[in-house]
Amino acid sequence: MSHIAVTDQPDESKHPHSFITKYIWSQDHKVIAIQYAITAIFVGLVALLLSALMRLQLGFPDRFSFIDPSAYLQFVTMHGMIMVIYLLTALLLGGFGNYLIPLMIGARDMVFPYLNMLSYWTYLLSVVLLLASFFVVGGPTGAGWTLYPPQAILPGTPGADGGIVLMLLSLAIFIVAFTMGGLNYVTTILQARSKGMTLMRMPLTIWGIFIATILGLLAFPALLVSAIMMLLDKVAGTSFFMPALLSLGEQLDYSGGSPILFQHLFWFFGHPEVYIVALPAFGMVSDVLATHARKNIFGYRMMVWAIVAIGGLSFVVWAHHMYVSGMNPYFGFFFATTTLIIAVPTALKVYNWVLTLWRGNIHLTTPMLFAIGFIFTFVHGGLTGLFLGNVVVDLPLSDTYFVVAHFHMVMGVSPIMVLFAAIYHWFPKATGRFLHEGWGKFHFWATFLGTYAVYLPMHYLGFLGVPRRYFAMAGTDFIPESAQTLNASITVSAIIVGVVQLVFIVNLIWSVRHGKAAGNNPWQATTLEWQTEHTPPGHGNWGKTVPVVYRWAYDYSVPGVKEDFIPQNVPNEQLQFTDKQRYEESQQ
Amino acid sequence: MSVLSRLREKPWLAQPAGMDPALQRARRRWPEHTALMFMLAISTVLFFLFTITFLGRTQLPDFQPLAGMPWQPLTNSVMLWLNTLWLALSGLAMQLSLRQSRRLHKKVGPWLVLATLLVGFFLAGQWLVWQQLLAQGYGLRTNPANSYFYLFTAVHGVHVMAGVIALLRVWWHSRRQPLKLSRSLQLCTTYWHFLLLLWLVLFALLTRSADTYNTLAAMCGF
Repeated sequence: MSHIAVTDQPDESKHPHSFITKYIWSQDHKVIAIQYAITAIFVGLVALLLSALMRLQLGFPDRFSFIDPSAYLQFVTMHGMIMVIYLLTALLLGGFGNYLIPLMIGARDMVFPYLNMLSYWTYLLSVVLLLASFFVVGGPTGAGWTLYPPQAILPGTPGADGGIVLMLLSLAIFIVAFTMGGLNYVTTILQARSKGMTLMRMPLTIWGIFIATILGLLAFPALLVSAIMMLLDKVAGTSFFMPALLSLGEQLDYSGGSPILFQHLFWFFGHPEVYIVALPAFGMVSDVLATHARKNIFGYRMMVWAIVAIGGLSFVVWAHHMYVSGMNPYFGFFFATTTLIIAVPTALKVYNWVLTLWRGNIHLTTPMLFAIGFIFTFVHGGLTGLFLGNVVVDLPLSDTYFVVAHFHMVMGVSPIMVLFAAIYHWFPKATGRFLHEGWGKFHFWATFLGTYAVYLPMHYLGFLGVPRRYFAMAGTDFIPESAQTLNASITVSAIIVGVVQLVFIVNLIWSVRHGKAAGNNPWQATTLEWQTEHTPPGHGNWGKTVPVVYRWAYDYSVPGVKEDFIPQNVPNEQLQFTDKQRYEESQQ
Repeated sequence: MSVLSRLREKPWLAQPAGMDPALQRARRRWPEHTALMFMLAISTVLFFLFTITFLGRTQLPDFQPLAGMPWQPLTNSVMLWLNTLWLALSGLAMQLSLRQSRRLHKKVGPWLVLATLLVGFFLAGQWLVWQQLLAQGYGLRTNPANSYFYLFTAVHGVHVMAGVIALLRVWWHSRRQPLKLSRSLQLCTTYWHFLLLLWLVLFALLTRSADTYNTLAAMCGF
């Protein structure tokens, strides 16, 4: 078990030397993080392209002959699944989790570096399998990202032969990859913190990633269970979820299974998944806001409690996705209540972000713009969530564009705003160079305004009753023709937002070599990752000695202290004061 | 310090003298143990979810339990009892090897061979039960009760095999780092006991009659 040595002591002989051990089969958490990030962003771009194709059909129906109803459904399904699992989960936890955990808690690496490497390569295998489904006979599955049986595995649904099997296999493999990574994240956070880094001194980023990982470890098994059982239904002909039914005029061999059982399992995973994505984003945005507003995060303890409470509550709200499945009305009442309760800690976080900005010394850098943009999109998406959480409001709006607009605002746009904020914020640490600020600001405004141009009208379409997932409208007299004009406008906006992301990608590639040099701590931040000896940090992160932590992560603008930030590894004896008495009063 | 009092700390205030965590020595850490505890939690959740779907499925009309009536195959479950014995004895052998590993100059090899052999008997025994069921016409797809029996035993079997692989790996590495053996064996032994406990629950669950399932399902709200 030689890996422990790397985490405990700076043993020079353990550093990799060849290109292959350094960049390909690397066990360094920073390299693995970048591998995760590049793979996730690549597969995310594929999903972005799919969304553009499906918008083309919706905006300009029948204009593009290569988009038939089957292809449309396949685009919808793959877009959703890739974005939720293979982009957001992988980038937030595999990418940022890997990069930031050891650096922020003062460790030399993850506690199990080999397992970490295995986690990435298993993730890559799951991505390859997923993308392979585009090339099998019948194409990828078109069952919708929720993969509800019985239709997901029956003939007539696109990709019901190879596509769905590859999808289920890919999901199962992804879960194995996530479990290996997740075990590493939680163990590292619990056992490898440097001296003085108590739990309540950890930056909120780490709290968010920590609780999200626990959610993932306990929720992904539900998806694994449903994937295994559905795979058996498809391949071995069992009837776990499949009821007795006629398909294309023939009686099938299935009998007696319960499709609703699948829905329960799926959403027992699916709802915590929302928070698996949201909690790391909550954490990272807190750190970006505090750093760029030069102010301590407002209500740190409450922020931690809220993260923990949201994590716990997220396991008892799942059936609010199933109000129209014919469940007992008392269940609906229960789940509506828990859904409204979970809004309390979430709203508390929003208030605290806003109060962090209040009277702060706000620097409108690109990461800060994205972080503030997130507060807008998240409040917006969160409030529509309160509408949908109520059974009576949900029933008429279920499966309309209102739902599409809601979840894109709350778990599409919002976490992605944070991801952009985080990339602009931590890119200087990972590469030693800034991303181009001018392009970054253009990227922000085009994305921020563009997403509103896309999703605000969708709420209205939902009120009109436009159903989601439909390839084309026919015989729907209750929907005015102007809805089509709105759809065309959404499509044009969406394509513009999509193209603007290419500016970001070009910025990313260009800045690796040509960006402005950043130095060790360009944002004058307090957290440990900015206090490394080298930027980007070398293998083992910390040179000869690991840092000792003397304070919490948010000592910005401390009264009476000369600098407006005190890094976590600076002891009181080294502080320079302008007014020592004022400082001492502030510490009582 | 309990979790609650930890969560009530006020990290923004100066620490009282002598209490500064930075001054305290970092405690002895053992990451593998933490990771194993999380792994056991994940496996427990996995089997819990399978069990919940099983109880839900028992309430649908086509479900025919594998035990309860004299003509049903698992009413007489001698083979399964025998397999349980192998698994329990294997756990015992693991426990003894752990005890040996904590003493100087004692060999653990024979006990580990015995534990591996016994667990091999368990897996072979489960395989035989499958063959018997198949021979009697209880195939994977003929009834959901059968599907669940194969599913549960297969997933448990995969867990057992993963344990064997881990044990062989520990054993192999112990040739180079003998001092770490007892620590690793402790983790393996814990896992072995978990496998037995899991199997006992599954065994009890899979060989109940329809009445028991109805009661359990009613308690779960199905």
